[in-house]
Amino acid sequence: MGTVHAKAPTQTASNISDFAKQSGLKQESETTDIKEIDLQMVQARVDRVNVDGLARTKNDIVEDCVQDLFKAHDFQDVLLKAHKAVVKLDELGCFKNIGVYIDTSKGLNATTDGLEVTFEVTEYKRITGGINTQVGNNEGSILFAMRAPNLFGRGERVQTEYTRGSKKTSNFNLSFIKPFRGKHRPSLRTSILQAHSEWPNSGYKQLERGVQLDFGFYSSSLFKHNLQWEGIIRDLSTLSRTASFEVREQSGSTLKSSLKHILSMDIRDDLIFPSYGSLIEITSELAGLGGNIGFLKNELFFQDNYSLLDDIVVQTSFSAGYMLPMNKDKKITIADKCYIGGPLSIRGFQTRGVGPHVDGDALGSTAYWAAGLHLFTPLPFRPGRGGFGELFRTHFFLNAGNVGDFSLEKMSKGDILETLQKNIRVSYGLGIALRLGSMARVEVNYCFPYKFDKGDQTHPGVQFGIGVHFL
Amino acid sequence: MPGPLVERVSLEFEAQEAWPKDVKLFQPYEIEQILLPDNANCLAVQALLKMCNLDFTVEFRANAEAMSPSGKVPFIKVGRFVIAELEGIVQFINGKGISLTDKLDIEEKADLRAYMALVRNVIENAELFICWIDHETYNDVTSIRNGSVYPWPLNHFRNREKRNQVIKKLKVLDWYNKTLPEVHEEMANCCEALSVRLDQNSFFFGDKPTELDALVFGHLFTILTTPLPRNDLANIVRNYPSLINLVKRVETKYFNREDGKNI
Amino acid sequence: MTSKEKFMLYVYDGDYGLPSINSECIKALLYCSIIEVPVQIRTLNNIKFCTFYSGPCFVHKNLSFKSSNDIVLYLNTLNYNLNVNLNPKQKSECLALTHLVQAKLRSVLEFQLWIDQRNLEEFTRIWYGRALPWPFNSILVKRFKENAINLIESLYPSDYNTEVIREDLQTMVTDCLSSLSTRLGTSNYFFGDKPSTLDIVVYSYVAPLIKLPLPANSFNGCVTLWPNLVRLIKRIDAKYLPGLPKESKYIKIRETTNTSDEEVSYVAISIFTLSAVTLVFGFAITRGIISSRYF
Repeated sequence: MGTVHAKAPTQTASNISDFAKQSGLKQESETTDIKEIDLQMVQARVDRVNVDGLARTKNDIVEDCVQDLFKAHDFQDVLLKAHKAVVKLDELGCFKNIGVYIDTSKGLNATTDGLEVTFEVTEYKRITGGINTQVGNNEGSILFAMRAPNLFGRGERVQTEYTRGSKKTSNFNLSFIKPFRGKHRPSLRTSILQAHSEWPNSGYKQLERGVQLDFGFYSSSLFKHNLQWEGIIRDLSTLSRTASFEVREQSGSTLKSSLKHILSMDIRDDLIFPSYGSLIEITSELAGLGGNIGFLKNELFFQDNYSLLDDIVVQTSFSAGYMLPMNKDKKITIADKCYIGGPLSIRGFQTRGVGPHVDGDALGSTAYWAAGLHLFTPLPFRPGRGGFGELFRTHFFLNAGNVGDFSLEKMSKGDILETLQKNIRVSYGLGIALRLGSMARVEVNYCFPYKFDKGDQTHPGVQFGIGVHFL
Repeated sequence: MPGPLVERVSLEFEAQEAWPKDVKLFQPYEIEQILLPDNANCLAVQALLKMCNLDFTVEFRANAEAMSPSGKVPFIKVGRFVIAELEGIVQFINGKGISLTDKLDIEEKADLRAYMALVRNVIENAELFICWIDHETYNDVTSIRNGSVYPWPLNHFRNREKRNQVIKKLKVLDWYNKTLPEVHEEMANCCEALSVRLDQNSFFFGDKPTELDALVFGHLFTILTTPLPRNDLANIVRNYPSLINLVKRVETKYFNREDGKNI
Repeated sequence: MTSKEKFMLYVYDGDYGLPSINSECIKALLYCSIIEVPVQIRTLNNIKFCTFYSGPCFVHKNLSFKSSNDIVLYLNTLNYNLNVNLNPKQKSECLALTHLVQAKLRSVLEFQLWIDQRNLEEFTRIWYGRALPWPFNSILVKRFKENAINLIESLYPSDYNTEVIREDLQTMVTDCLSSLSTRLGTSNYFFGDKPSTLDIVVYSYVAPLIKLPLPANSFNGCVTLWPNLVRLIKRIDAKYLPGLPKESKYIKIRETTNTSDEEVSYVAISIFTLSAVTLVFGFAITRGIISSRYF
């Protein structure tokens, strides 16, 4: 049968077809005398799995990742399971490089059809760090990080990060992360953080300091859950002396102790320009067990992508949320409310531009919905095809949305639905979208705000947006 | 960012408008929260507005200090404008053509400024010292009142932050290292100076009150009527009958309250 | 008197016609000079003194007093009294005006010397760097700067813009000086013909504003608006602080800038020529234009 080498590249492939392509297994080989082989027909089983390069990493977590290999019964299965094992090893966060070698098994206990799979891993040093750039909510920031990966051998790590953003935001956090073994891949994260941010559209700035506990797990391979508790002390103050009085009234210190549940499922094929798949995120937050802020907030975000032809993608997205106040002694501050509008939300409006405003300061609302219908096509005449041109897309969009306020008047459910149907804001437009590596998207759109309220702040014409999470 | 100069210009334009009907004065909660020095300043501003015959309503807010543009209470909201502290409010009122000091000559105005600086430098710092540096008063009164509007554990953080701020201020003004007898002596000297200046007159500058009378009233009335573990400041003030009479005079004339606790 | 019973006063050095650069030291020095206390003045410009004392420090027997107020109180107990001739009304005014000056002018002076960036870098740091020995110069500069920042922060807790603060201080200074000038009127000193503690306090804050050649001195113009205050300063200078050198000890005041443009330093010329010649030479050698058996 000969020797088969299947060597994975140093960068782990994101899906199996790329993996196969990179391994050179698809039959575009140079030699002419290779016959087409259906890998599924080739009987194989794994006799041995070696993992080289372990120093402080404990055996048990590595075993968990490679266990499945022993269940393979044909060659294609071996390849698939080897790929999955690489992904799992990567997710442990202990290794810098993972290489896979598949060889026929030799030696005493070898069986016919037996294979020996060797993983060569390089562990991270005790302390790593670096300076990165990252993209946030319409701003770019620079991130200084220091990590102590794989502290005790099971993937625990301590990391401290300091970020400075272009919009005068700055963040500091120190966290301890411990992944656990198990089918559901649970992991625990505790962190203390301090974040300073300014919101000129609402006229205030805030300083948050607190503690956060996060417990994440997968209920099935697709659904990720995060249970969080956070205790945050928040200091609000006005940005300038001319801020509106409604914002000034919210200045001061508050303590928020809240429980949050985040459910997410992301089966899109790409983060930036997905061509198929959908994303669902449901967040529920209950604040008020302790502290002087109390509310119940539920938010939903849904996105679906559908490829019409090869490169033409239709994307629909929908986002909605509502907040209910808890009881009389606990309040909802301007920092917790819902805001829509902006290049990452309803385009054609300024950031936080939809909703009640006083003196130019956005006050936020307690209920909202927003939807988008997008068409992404490659650039006209496809310049730079296969290379540079792939980074760009032309983008046509139609956005709509509305806000409502539970706290303003005592409304019943029916009233709220009615408010959310009246006075819808609509905007449409077109533009160019650009991919920034695999981490962010830049959009430059020409927008036409079509329907809007008197108090909204629109942004017709050219609008620039950079971020990860677009409506 | 508009500076005081720009604000002064825009205040000039507002001067043409009469005093609106819905002026509000914001201060911390009187019963559970407010502390001695803040109470004194709030009362002084209230006295000032009453002396000028200007209507206002008092609004109590737990975060009044954070809301204030200068970080100090009290502040008033007049239409769109928010002005804090006695001196700022005096300037604002003068801009509207209302003044308690227009009959004073230049020398008397200079005296007025000097004596107001004296009250601020001595009496206010003595009050801060007693409230925040004296351990008994801090533990029994100040920390409880200051933290009463915050949930646990925020109250402890806020108390510590505020105390450090006050200590920093007193250190810079050379008050932190004073002993209690030294504080009493400063207070006594100040009261002596005020008493001598007041002499036998009804008010400091004749028979019409000025902002100095409002300021002195605010501080001395509060010192005399606030129960604290240490009554030293009150006892010092009681040695000066002319000052007590001034306080009584302002109280009966402008506050129409017969407060039995006053002496 | 034995050396233990002598009065010793440790102060920071003075310059530009001031007995000391530090206002508290000026107060102490002037008080002793006016009352004629037989005090020995030691300047804190060597390491030995700086380690044990910080200015101003009045030492007598085993007692030491660190602030001008304490010094005055102590001297009062030894019957060195300045305000004896004041009646109660004048004493009251003296106290009030002293507090006014202390509250307003001190902040302005601290702002000018320690918060205004240009003054700090081009004057204050350099002066202290040369007048005090290392490491005290950097330690004290740091301490004074922190004190100044704390003072301004306690006055303006919500304002972070120095321009806003500067404007506010401008009005404060004008008001304060106008009050002082009104009170002084045409007399020689605030309370008659003999100086009082008020004159001392006024001098200690106003004289530095006038005399220190700060690069960004927006407040200098304010004082000259009141000539009677300027005359007061001069009067005190003449009578109680004679013989103070007017030229700067530590910083040579540069000539006006338009002459310095024409002067070119010889050092600069020689460095420039040398580097130009080296560059040309090196270029020639690498190109093979000049070859020699050494290369």
